[in-house]
Amino acid sequence: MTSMNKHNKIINNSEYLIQDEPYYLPSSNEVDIFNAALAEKIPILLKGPTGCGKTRFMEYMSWLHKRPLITVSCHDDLSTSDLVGRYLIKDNSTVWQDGPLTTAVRNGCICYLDEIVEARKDTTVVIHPLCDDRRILPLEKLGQLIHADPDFCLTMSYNPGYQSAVKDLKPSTRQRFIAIDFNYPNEDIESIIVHEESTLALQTCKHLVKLANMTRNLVGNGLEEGASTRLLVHTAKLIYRGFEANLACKCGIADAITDDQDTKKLLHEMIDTIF
Amino acid sequence: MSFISSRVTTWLEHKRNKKAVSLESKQTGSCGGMSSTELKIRIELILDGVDTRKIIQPVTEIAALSHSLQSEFLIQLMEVADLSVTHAYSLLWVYTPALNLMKSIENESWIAQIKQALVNRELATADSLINNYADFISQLDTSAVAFSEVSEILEKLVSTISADTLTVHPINTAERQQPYTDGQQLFLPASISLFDNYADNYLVFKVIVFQLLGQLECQTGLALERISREVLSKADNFLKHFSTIETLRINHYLKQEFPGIWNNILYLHDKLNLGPYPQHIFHGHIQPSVFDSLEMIEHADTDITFCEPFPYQCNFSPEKLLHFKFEKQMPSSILMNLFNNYDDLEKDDGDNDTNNKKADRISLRHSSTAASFSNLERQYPDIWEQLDEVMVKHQNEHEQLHNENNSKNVYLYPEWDTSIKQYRQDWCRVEEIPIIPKVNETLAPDNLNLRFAEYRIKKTLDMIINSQRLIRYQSDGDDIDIDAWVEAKSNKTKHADDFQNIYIRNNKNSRSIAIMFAVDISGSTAGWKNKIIRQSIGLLSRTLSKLNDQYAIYAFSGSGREQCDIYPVKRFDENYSTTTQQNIASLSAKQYTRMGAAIRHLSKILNSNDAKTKILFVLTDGRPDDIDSYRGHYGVEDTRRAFNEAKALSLNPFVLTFDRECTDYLPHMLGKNNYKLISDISMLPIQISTIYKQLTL
Repeated sequence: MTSMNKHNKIINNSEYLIQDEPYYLPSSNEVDIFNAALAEKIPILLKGPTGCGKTRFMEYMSWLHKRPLITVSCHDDLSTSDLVGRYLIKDNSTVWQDGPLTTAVRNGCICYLDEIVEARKDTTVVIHPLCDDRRILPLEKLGQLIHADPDFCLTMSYNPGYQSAVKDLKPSTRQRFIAIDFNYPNEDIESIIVHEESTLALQTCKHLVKLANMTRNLVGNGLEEGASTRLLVHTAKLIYRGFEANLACKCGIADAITDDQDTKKLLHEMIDTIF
Repeated sequence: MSFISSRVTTWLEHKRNKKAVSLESKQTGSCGGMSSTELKIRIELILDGVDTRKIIQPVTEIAALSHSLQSEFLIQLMEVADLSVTHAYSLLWVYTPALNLMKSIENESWIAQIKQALVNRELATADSLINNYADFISQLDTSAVAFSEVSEILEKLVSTISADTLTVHPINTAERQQPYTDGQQLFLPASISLFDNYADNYLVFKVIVFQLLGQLECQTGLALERISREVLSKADNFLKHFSTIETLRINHYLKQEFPGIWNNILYLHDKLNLGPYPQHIFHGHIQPSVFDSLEMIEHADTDITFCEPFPYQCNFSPEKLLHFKFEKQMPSSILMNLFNNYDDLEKDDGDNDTNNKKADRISLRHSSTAASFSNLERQYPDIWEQLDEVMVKHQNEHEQLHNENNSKNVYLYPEWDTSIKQYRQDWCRVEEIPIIPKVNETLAPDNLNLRFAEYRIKKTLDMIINSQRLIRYQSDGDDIDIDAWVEAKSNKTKHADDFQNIYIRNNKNSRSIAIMFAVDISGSTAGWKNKIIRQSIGLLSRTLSKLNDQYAIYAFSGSGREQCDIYPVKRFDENYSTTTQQNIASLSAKQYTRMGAAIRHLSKILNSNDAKTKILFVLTDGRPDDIDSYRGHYGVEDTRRAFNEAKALSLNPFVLTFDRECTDYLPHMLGKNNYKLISDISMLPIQISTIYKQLTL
């Protein structure tokens, strides 16, 4: 009664391949480290605050190595079945449907587990056998043991800035990875990134980055996180579209990062000093 | 703060000398406030022979003020009494109502005018000023911006720009100085009323702050030696010229780095008709140095002829720059000694060999540099030895106090004094006091209503427990419910729809919750309120023990800042037991509600818990209130600050109150969604469980 879904084995790689080169400006040696880890088949852990370029980096590396990228956004309710696969009912029988992790393992893709700490710890344990030299994925429900394709690569990301005791990785998970620590790029590089992404004048982008750095100094003193590079790009696009810079910053940065009236007032003051 | 405290110290010393009586021993030591009795004694000393029985009303009003305001009042009263005791007596009666209508800067101005009138022997004017204070207020300039109004936001603004921790302080109004910085503090005018509207005056404040930041960033102090030499040889003319050029250089820096502030500067120039801004002096993208400014002056290649300093111009005198340059390298007490005799500096120019003075009277030569400072240790070993001794003694005393406190479960917490916009460090002494269980106290539901309440609570909490189970027969889910599928298949001919509900949903809302119940047991809860609170807490803890949620119950009350008592009813690491029951049953109404200290202590305990969601649940019957000045605005602001600190720790504070007037202060204190008013206290047991469910699901 149970059968395999005939589409499980091979996926249409073109759906997952990044065709056009994503814009990415390295801020350190992260590309070299990734290349080395990929060659050595070591899983990679990307750490950094929200909007600093982790996902963009993954897209870039996927494009660079011409490997399909399967991204899973992790959350509280993510179960092992969501990753590995589950039985579905078709007609009068059950059929097995691979999950994204299994698909990546079978087809030699890069599997990117975004914000891994959002998933429960019992869920993340499933990746352990894939992350050491065994590179296997046991499918208990199928009674199978899948050996990972040589091109398979597991990467995951998380934001260590949440400072929550529960939102952390188990040491046994942590110690299977090579970590690349991302942070917001330095002012010059970040200005160029914002400029390239938005085509806004470089000088204005520099001012936006200065403002972002001011907000980052407020972390822990009214803000959980400062303005990210992504927010700067959004704001720069608004300005490029003709919005007055002061207004664009208020909409794109101040109102986006806080609801607290006092903090918002302070952010508006900061914007007024720059624009 | 330093201004007020220095004035208080002066006052105390003055009083000691005058009456040869120390009042320190009679201080209550309670929060910022002196008691009515103490105030009466002090006022009696100032207004010789006053009948204290007749001044109960004003003294009671003054007793409600914070310590700093009371001290300020006593100083002012004494100063007026020195001129006219009769007028001081009149001032005593109107002081508090007048203060309620005035800002601190306005209050200072009011008192100054009264004193001036008395000095001029214009007794009728002084009478009028005192008794018709409302007229004085109505004539005040509302466009003026006081330092106290903007200090908080300016300091925060500075903190977002500077990597160093810079604080802002007002300049003593008597000093009539330009704004300056010592590298760690920015000294700003006490008020600005240059324009006839508030917004423009605030702009001046902001530009001054950025000028001072620019002074630090553009490193004016690098040329200190040369500036000192030039000032001594060319006197004021050089300083005036240098200040203008340097201000323009900093403006050039601001133009590049903070275009918003640059726009403000241009706006101010325009508004004040200062003429076209001389942009040609500094231009281009390269930031000139202070030496470029000096070169310009030396070669007189500028045509700047500003007679008056810019309204936002800061102090560039070498005295201030010198202070900044060495502040970070020298302990402040030593610096004070070094600068004691700074005035001698110019007189003793060139005399470098007269160093054999007492250790606390070192003269600083104008040509002294960092190198000469570094030789001080060799030259004046006494200073360092004395300093070492004092430091060791102080450290020992501190450690001794710390050890004593540790052994008694005593903790010291800061308190936010909204009148000075600063924390009073180690201000509140919080002690955890074990509850002594009373014999024969039980919590058993003694009537039908309570049994019904317990039933309702159980039912509410059962819903939470049930929500964690696997939910079967779902139309979608994580897995196939094989049993449901088999069942559906067997029933296929009868109910085809059964096949739609053959999934199982794993509702794993993995609850990781810690909740801290902070129960106000102040005197106002005495009687039936206390009984219902005990019953509610008892019922809730009995039913909560069935959930895996971690919970703790602490009661709080106290009397004054030295006695903030916390009563642990059930700690996180304790299981619900008969001891817990006895502790709850033994809770009785105590004294006052110093809520800020209690929240800080309980936040600390809750924060040490590693649960995913942490809730600080405060059960109270009214606003913060304590015997000293911890009431009204002061208490609310400190509690608000304590709640904000809890939020910063990712705790979720929530207040359940019986106070019908809570809308006056709780939305400000905690936000509009974080409190609930229970109008009928008898519904507390049921309400508390309903809210618990809302908060944790």
